[in-house]
Amino acid sequence: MELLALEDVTKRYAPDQPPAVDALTLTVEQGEILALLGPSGCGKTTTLRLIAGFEAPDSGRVVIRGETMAGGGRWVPPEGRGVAIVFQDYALFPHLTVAENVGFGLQHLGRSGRPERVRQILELVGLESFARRYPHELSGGQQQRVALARALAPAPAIILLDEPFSNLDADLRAQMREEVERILRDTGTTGIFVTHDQEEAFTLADRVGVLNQGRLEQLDTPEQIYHHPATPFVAEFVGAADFLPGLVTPYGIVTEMGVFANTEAWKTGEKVKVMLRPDDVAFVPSSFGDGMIIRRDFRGSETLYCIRLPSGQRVHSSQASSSLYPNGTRVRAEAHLIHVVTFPV
Amino acid sequence: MPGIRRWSVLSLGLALPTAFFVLGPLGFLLWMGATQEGADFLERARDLELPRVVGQVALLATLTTAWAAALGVPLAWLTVRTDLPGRRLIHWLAPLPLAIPPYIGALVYQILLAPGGVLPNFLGVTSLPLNLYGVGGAAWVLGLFMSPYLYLLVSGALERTNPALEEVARGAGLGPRQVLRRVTLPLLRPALLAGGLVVFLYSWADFGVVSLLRVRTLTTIIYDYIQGTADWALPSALSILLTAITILVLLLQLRVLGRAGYTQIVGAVKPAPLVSLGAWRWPAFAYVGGMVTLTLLLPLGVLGYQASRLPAPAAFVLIQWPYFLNSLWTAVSGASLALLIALGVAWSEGRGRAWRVSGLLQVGYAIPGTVLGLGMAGFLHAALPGIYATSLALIVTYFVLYVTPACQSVKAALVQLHPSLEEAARSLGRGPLAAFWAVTLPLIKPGLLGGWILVFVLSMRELAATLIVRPPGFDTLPVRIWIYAMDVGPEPRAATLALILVLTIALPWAMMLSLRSRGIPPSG
Repeated sequence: MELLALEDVTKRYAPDQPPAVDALTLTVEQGEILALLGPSGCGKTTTLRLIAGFEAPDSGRVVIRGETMAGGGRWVPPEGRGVAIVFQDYALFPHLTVAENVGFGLQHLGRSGRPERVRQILELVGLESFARRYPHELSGGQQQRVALARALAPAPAIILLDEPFSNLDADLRAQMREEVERILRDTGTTGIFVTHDQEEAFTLADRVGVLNQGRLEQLDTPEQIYHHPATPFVAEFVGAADFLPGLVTPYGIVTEMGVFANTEAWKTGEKVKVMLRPDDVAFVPSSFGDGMIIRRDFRGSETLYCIRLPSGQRVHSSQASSSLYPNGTRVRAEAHLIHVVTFPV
Repeated sequence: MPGIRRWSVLSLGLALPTAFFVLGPLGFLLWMGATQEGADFLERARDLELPRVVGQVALLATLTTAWAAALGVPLAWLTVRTDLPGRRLIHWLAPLPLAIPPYIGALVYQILLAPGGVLPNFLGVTSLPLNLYGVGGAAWVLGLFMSPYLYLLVSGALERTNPALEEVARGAGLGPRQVLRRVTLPLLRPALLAGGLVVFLYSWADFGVVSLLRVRTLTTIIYDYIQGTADWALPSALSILLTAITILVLLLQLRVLGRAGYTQIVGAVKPAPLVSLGAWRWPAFAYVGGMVTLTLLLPLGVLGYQASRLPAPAAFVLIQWPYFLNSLWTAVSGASLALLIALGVAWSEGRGRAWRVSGLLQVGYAIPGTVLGLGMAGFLHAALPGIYATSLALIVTYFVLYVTPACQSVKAALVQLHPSLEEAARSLGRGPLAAFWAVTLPLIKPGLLGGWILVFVLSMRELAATLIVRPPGFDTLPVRIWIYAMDVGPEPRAATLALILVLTIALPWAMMLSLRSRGIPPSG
């Protein structure tokens, strides 16, 4: 069932500026986890705030469970939407204990029902023993779990997470990512989170929406986004990409690194560019090779080489971290494409 | 978003009555002043030696500012940045003299130095070779009791300065003295300017000290006219002159700060390392101890001594009790009204969709008490005779005079509150008012209390406006003290009442100073 629908939603903060969110249309299914991915200023946080009801769209509609929340003359305030939010800074109430924070949205349960629900939720996030602590007495990861527990407690239709892991250390981030996913899956909660970290979006989400300057560039599974990016922007934003100029011939697309299949049925004679991921490019050192290593970045788990081709075109190649070739090494570079992705020039 | 309209209605509902009471008195003065004929005014100005008076007040304000800076600025640096012995205690004590209104300071030095006073008696002479009555004496007293303002602003700026800036300068090869001169002091300029301005404008418009120490200024001339004649025109014209110069100075400050308005760096990462005073430790301590003695211990001691000479103190206090109550309940009402309006204004402005009322409120803060008293009395007499010469008029006057500091306190408290807290409450099912009640209000409570105390203290000690606006026979403590001191001199009755007033103010003031250092722990 379709839980949330944004229909042609546009939001402008100032009349003389481009819209923060531009004609955005997307739907989210019950139980799905959606990531909104994009650089800062792309409109992803504004999108969350439009769903939560902290901003009103200039045009378009926000629909939750088939009921219009904003647009078409209707307006449901945040407290009436059943949408919970976990803020980037967690926004825990500093004057309330952990239990009081978690119980904040449970007024409808009354004094008798509340403690039981609070205990249940704290157990879910593994913080039963911290109920009487104040937020400032907790670590960053614990604060985040309280924020999540507080949002989950009223059993919201949707939970929104704004850059949820950006305030955590790298190793804690991976752990919290797993834990948040487990909790959302266990409770069957629909989650929408925004991030600028593609790895985070890929590991956590069922589908990823890539936003650029307020527009949705692509909405698809992580695999599709990575292997079949819809636009050059998506290709470059999710993982590194080089673009190799090519000419369409009856035999395929002819490029400096060989001929690739014309899978997208370009017309003969057209000029296109072929996307190369660093893991698509291999090379062997050879004194007859026409490529040359001009830069080597050691990254721990991999080594990234930059190779200059005779035309001056540069391509990147990801190799095992044990592979060591100095700058200036002559190489023969090859591209092995499983999916040929091309864009018009 | 629906809700925009609600904010504008709230802010408009606040703006209209506020504008009425802020602009009404000013309008009255302008209107009355305009009835004064130009030629007539020039002639009377000559009789009053107006240029000489203005020059004398300017001299007084300049001397006071220099004296207050000489006292407050080194004290701030010593307590914040050096290993001065007892610096924590000093940091708490230094702003405390603000509980002693300058006119009570003047009373203290009268008791001490005037002919027949404590010191001449002790030395066995009829009078001392130094003259307390005059510009010098007034500047001494005003500077002494205004210096804590400079201390507060400068020590606050020193605490906020990022020590990395000074470390960079050291890294660039500057010695400690050069760093002080070329980095630390220039960074303090906005705070110095703001503090100097407060002191300058206060002494420029002071009434209490100059009247007690018999310095003729615009305010005393205005007051004498109101008392002696039924003539409104001349005092109104003089009030406009007084206010015009005040506004001129404020505009000048905006120009200077406008260019050099480098706002102080947000939240220093770590406190700056303390400068070791070495051999200067004890001389510095003596200096600081001397200041605390002059501004705090000596005044309290002198007042206590003089009060102890009062025959039948219990009976006297019993007779004066109604005046104490008058002071108390008008100040409490004024502070509560100011806080309520300030809360509404600050909250709706914080939402960014409201009429900017706080700029209007600042007008009231810029007007000297004597001027506002005159304008308010005349305006109420003309427009709202039902309120004129009632205690309600006094409460409205306190509100107009001091709503700005209340507004600043509330705003400062709200700024520290991230909007996501209120939004989190909204998304958890609370309406706007319920979210405000459950989250915002408990978190800004210390700020609200601080703002309330500030207005309470300022209203409790207000003299000039009270003298003019109060209903006949409705005396407050400052009024009683002033009348005793003016009519009879610095005798035990004035000292006893002054002691009661100081202690009443000092209690909440000390509470606020301890609040200042204790914040709500951050959530992040």
